[in-house]
Amino acid sequence: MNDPLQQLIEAIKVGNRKIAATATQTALDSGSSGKEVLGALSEGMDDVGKRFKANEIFVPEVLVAARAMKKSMELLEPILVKSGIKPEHTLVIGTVKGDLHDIGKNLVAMMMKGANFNVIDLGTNLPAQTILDAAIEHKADLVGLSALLTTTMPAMRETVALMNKEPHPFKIIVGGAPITQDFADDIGADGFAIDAASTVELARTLVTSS
Amino acid sequence: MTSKERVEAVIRHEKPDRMPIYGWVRYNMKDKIDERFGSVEAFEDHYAFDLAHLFGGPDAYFIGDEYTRKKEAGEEIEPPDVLNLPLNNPEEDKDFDNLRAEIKHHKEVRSRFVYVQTPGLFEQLNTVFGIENHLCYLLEYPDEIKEIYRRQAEWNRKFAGKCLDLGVDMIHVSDDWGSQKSLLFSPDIWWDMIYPGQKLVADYVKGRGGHISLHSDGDINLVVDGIKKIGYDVVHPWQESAGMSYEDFLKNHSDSFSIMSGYDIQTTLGFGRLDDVRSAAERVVRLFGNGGLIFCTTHFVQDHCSIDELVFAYDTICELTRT
Repeated sequence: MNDPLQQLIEAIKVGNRKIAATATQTALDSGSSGKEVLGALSEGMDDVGKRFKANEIFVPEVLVAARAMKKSMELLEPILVKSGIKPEHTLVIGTVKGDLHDIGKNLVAMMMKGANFNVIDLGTNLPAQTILDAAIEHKADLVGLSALLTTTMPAMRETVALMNKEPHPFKIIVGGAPITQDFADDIGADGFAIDAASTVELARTLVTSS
Repeated sequence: MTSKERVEAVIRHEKPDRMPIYGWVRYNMKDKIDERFGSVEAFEDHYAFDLAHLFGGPDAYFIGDEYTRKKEAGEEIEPPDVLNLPLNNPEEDKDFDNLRAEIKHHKEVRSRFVYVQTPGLFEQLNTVFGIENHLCYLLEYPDEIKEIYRRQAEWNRKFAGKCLDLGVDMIHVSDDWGSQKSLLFSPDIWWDMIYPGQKLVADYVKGRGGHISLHSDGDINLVVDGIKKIGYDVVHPWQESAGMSYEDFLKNHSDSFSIMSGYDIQTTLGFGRLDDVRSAAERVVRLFGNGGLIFCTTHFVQDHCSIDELVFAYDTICELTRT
């Protein structure tokens, strides 16, 4: 396999950071555009997402793929900035107040980056106002809220309520172990996703429809 | 039957005189329980809990300066670093003083079935690596991880032996493998990396005449055959909200092990819906009237549960199983 873009896709699929970095550099050196390299990254991560959703692979495989993508992005980002290529949509994401768990949120953030969203990861244990302020500041198209504990579901409700108090341009996606579609509907979220790969699909649908 | 005999009947797949009852109530509910009952111990006595779940003993790892420096600097702790970390003595007598006193109290004064929490291979190393790094290392450092797990399993075996010496009835291995809809890692990884060490500990405990139980949250359907092969006597929880069906358990697994389950803290207990709490208790009593289950919460009762709801929940299960 001599095509560096194809090598990059394969490196992302198997989560090989070293080969991902080398293939990215080779692709850029041999004349591939930033957009083409980005396309290869998205193709690789899409494949990872599909296999994760189908239970063919598990969390470790997604994490190493995302880390390989991150290595590639470190080389690619300056090129994209120089070429004026920016992701079309921005996701502001965080874990609601009281919840320090972040693996689910991190997986979503990684896969959304792989799907070429601009991801602003605010971290964990976030007051509602902090998330709302960040959504406005970064002109978010989407806000992603995560909760692992049933204890923090009320904080998720409060966060969505604060956001929905005034009209806003972004859609709100919620997820996490205890969250259900019924709960999402009940608190006024725009969408619920059961796993990271489904979040990407849902996000694409929501930004297309808005 | 004493509490101990009752639990052991369930483990032997016999019908007990009544369903044994327990609950993970201390962690978040202590203040509310103290206010209503005076203490958690008084709550446990009031409902005649059949088991005591004890914690204690030495930590596995000796955390030295270099580890602390790396952690504080935000640097990744990688498997080769951990291979250089010394392990504490798992049999140091003075580290068991508290546990010794608690075991004596629960066995001699309350005649309870006593089980002690011990670290699982995966869960123990999560605290060292951080779960995200740990999951990556399963793929990136397989040989080192296997060696780390091998050392940990040997440590766990000695720790379990010390607990059995003190009179503990069951060694409880806490090792979360499940996520909401599947395993966190592949079954291949589980068989290759997790199974050997857990089997070593289980064989030792059972060879000494003790019982062994597993705690893993989430959906662990993909490795239930392995759980049987290891020889766990009890599995806690059997989390229906994560795809673990009671009907499937009764049909396919109840000859091999028993379960600790009952009030699901993710969906049922703590939401102020008392009808749902009662329905859950009635269903469990109906399904497990002939044994196979130690009634328990699926995890720590969360702090959004009111004391009134907790009291209702335990009044209900006692009414259904003891009258």
